[in-house]
Amino acid sequence: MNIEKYISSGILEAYVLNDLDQDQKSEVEALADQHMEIQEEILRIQTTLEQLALKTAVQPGAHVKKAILDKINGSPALEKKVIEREIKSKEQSWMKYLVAACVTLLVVTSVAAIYFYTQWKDAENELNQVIAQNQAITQQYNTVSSKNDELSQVLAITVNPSFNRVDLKGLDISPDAAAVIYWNQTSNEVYLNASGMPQPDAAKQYQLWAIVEGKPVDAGVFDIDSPANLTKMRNITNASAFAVTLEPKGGSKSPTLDAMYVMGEV
Amino acid sequence: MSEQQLIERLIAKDKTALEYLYDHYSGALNGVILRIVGNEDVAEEVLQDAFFKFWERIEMYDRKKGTLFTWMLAISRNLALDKLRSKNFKKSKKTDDIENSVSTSDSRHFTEQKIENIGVKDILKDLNEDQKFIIEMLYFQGYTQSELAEEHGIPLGTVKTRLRAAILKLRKLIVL
Repeated sequence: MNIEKYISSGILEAYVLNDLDQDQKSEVEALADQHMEIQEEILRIQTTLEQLALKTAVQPGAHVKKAILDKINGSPALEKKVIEREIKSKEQSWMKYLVAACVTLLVVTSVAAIYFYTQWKDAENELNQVIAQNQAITQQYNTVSSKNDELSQVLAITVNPSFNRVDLKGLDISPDAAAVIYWNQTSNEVYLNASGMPQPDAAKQYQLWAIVEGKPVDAGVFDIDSPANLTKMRNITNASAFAVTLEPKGGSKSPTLDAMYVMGEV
Repeated sequence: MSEQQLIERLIAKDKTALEYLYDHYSGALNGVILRIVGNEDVAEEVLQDAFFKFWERIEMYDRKKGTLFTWMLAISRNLALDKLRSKNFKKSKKTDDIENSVSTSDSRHFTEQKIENIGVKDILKDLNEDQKFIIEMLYFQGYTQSELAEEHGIPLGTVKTRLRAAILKLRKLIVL
């Protein structure tokens, strides 16, 4: 590049007067590093302006020197600024406390939220357990209650003097089998407890017969259930005996005599 | 005391070194500031700020970019220009200008007139009108080249070459 032309363009004067933007400034400085002539020219311009300043000096008032020395000594002249700074730093530290307080509050509330959430979850779990327990207990109660009802019913029948007890005893094919009939000869009601009977095959069912005037009368089929239970059978009048045979499921019109398990006379 | 010694003592926070700076350069710097801000009280305020900056920022001084005095001049000019461009000050100066133009008996205006005449006229007397104007506006009034070009309808290139010519002339007048 043409150094002379560059120097005479006036850009170096502008540089010394700090009248260039950052890019132009960097450009001048880079060129000054490379070209001695540019560096020297800058120095000459600086010197000229220094001399111009020195030749056109205007002495400041005597108090200015004292004020400057006071300022760098941190004496009274400075105090105001120091106080301002302190106030500023106090404000800043106050802000710091505020920020710290906010952060603390945030942490505390977050911890509390987690804590209460956990507590709530625990409580919910406990409540569910209690509800389940309660349901189980209710079920048990219902079972017990219905059992109690059955037993009350059984008791009411067994202690009722209107019911005759008829014990049916095991016959040859099943000597240990036993059943009990409670028969009310006034109301004709028949109740049966068959807990002493062996469990039949799934395809078969016991059938109760009443012997009336020498003939078997169907009193209904039954299953073996809980020991204390009484099963209500068909009403029977004028029976002289009761017997149980094992029949195909659903019962038969007439008893299969060689499958008679128990029998008892009134 | 060499400039290098002076700088070392300033870095070491030797107050007598700052006093030395003040005794030698406060007048020159105050003159530069005063011509920019146009008010003695304001100029002295800026001068105080400038010296405080020299004291606090001496580590920033880069020898490669010029002498210590040039560095100080640049800081002083920048502070003065900042002051001039600060909104409140601009307003009050403008108002002053209007007032002064109708009432020449204003005492401060009288002082300012005197300041502008001190030394400057003698030094600038051998420059032609264009060169005088350029130095006055760019150096003493603190205009930027583009501001001057815009406000006075002078092409920027012309501003640059006139400044160059003016400084060359000044160099012959002052330095030699």
